[in-house]
Order: sequence, then structure tokens, then C-alpha cells
Amino acid sequence: MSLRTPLAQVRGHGSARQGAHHWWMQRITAVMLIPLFIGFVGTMVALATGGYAETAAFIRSPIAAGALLVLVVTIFYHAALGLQVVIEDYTSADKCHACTIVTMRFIMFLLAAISVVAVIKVAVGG
Amino acid sequence: MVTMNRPLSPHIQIYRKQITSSLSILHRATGVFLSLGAFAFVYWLWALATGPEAYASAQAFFSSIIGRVLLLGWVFSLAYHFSNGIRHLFWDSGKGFQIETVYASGKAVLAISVLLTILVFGVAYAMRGGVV
Ligand code: HEM
Repeated sequence: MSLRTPLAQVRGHGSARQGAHHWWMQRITAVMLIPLFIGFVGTMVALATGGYAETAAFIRSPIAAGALLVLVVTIFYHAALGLQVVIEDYTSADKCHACTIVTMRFIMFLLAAISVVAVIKVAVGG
Repeated sequence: MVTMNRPLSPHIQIYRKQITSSLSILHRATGVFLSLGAFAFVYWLWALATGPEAYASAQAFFSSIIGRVLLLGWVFSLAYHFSNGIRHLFWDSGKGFQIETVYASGKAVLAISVLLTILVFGVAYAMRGGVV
């Protein structure tokens, strides 16, 4: 027994209120990743013989840079949503669920930011 | 806790492995493994933004034995997660739930992932003129 209300006990331990949005964003990012990855893998294979200069020159095209930016942001959004579900499923709710999820999100956010800056730097020829 | 006669999740120790359950956990495993691959992807972008020397060491890493094994794992994981992700999206739209269809699409996804992996590595190595 606990003096805490049932609501207080479940808060932060699941997908209350945000579940449908989480689910939708996982699908929307999945659909976006299909053409983005076909383009990305195709490009990587085409650049298999290329070195630094060739690869950087390719990313200098606004179309390639734009697609790469959308790709990295979508990857990290999709991965953050997906990893959150894995954490919720396998870690005990008695431990600080939110701590693990916030740490994971922070790392994903950081990786996304580094990628965006890197792509822009190459695109503008820095 | 009030216990009701709700359906339980399969109990993992006594659950008989089936193609459906194996492919399902493989989607999760590849998703997590790809998330680790995202670190390598960021390393590659960082090297590209840093300059020719950094890029050369990234290329050296990715063409080392460890680098190649990891890349093989990531390409296969992506191929599987990609094809099985499309299978998931069909399910989400309510299609493909007949048990025969579920088995058939599962086998198709496995075959397509292997083929896509061979295709990517085959074309890349052919362009480089060999495995070296
Ligand atoms: C190539 C395009 C991709 C497609 C079409 C796709 C599709 C999907 C779909 C439909 C789901 C939901 C599955 C479910 O309901 O259980 C999912 C989950 C997930 N995805 Fe992706 N995905 C793609 C790429 C990626 C990438 C690149 C990563 C990692 C960086 C990733 C990481 C994850 C993770 C961690 C999950 C959660 C797995 C789980 O809950 O079992 N995905 N993906």
C-alpha cells in the first residue's frame, strides 16, 4: 500500500497521453527513412572508390547536403523513439526510468547536432 | 494488484522459438545495433568535416578487418530492419495478417536482406576492383 495516488505511481513510467504521437512519429520517420536510405546507400556504393575530395565535393551540392541533413535528423529521431520503447520494456520501472530515457535522448540529440554541423561545414566548404 | 484473466506475454524460458518470434526480436536487435552504428556514422561525418587527414584515418578504420566486419553487420542489419520495417508498415495498415502470409513475408524479408547485403558489398567491391 502507498499513500501515493495510482496516477502518481504510473506517471513517467509509460506512454500515457503521448503514446499515439510516439507511435505515429515512429511510423512517419520509418516511411521517410525508406527513400532516404535508398539514396544514401546508393551514394555510398557509388563513392566506394572516392576519397576525401570526391566525397566532400559531392556533399557540396545543395541537394545532397539537404537530403543528408534530413537523413541524419530523421535517423536520430527514429532511433530515440525506438530506443525509448526498448528501455521501457527491459528496464525496471522501480529504477529511474526517466533517467535512462533522458540520458539516451541527450546522447541522440548530441549526435544529431554534431552531424548537422558537420554536414553544413562540408556543404559550405569550410 | 488486481489480477485479471488477461492474456500473458509468452514466458521466455518455456516459449518455443518460431520464425515469427525470431524475426520479431531480430527487428529489435538490428534497431539497437543500428543505433550503435549511428556513432560510427557520426564519426565518419566528423572526419569529413575535419579534413583529409581525419578522413584518411576514418577510411583506414572502415577498411580494417574490424571495420569491415562491423560494416557487414551494419549493412545486413540495415537491409533486414529496412525490409522488415516495410513489413511492419503493411501490418500497421491492416494487411498481411493471415498466418500463411506472415510466414511467407517473413521468409521473403530474410531472403531479401541477404540479397541486398550481397548486392551492396558485391557492387562496392566490384567498383574497387576486388576485395582489397
Ligand atoms: C531504413 C529505414 C528504416 C525503416 C523502414 C524502419 C522501420 C521501423 C519500424 C516500422 C519500427 C517499429 C517496429 C515495431 O513496431 O516494433 C522500427 C523500430 C525501431 N527502429 Fe527502425 N527503421 C529504419 C531505420 C532505422 C535505423 C537506421 C535505426 C537506428 C539508427 C533504427 C532503429 C530502430 C529502433 C531502435 C526501433 C525500436 C525497436 C523495437 O521497439 O523493437 N531504425 N523501425
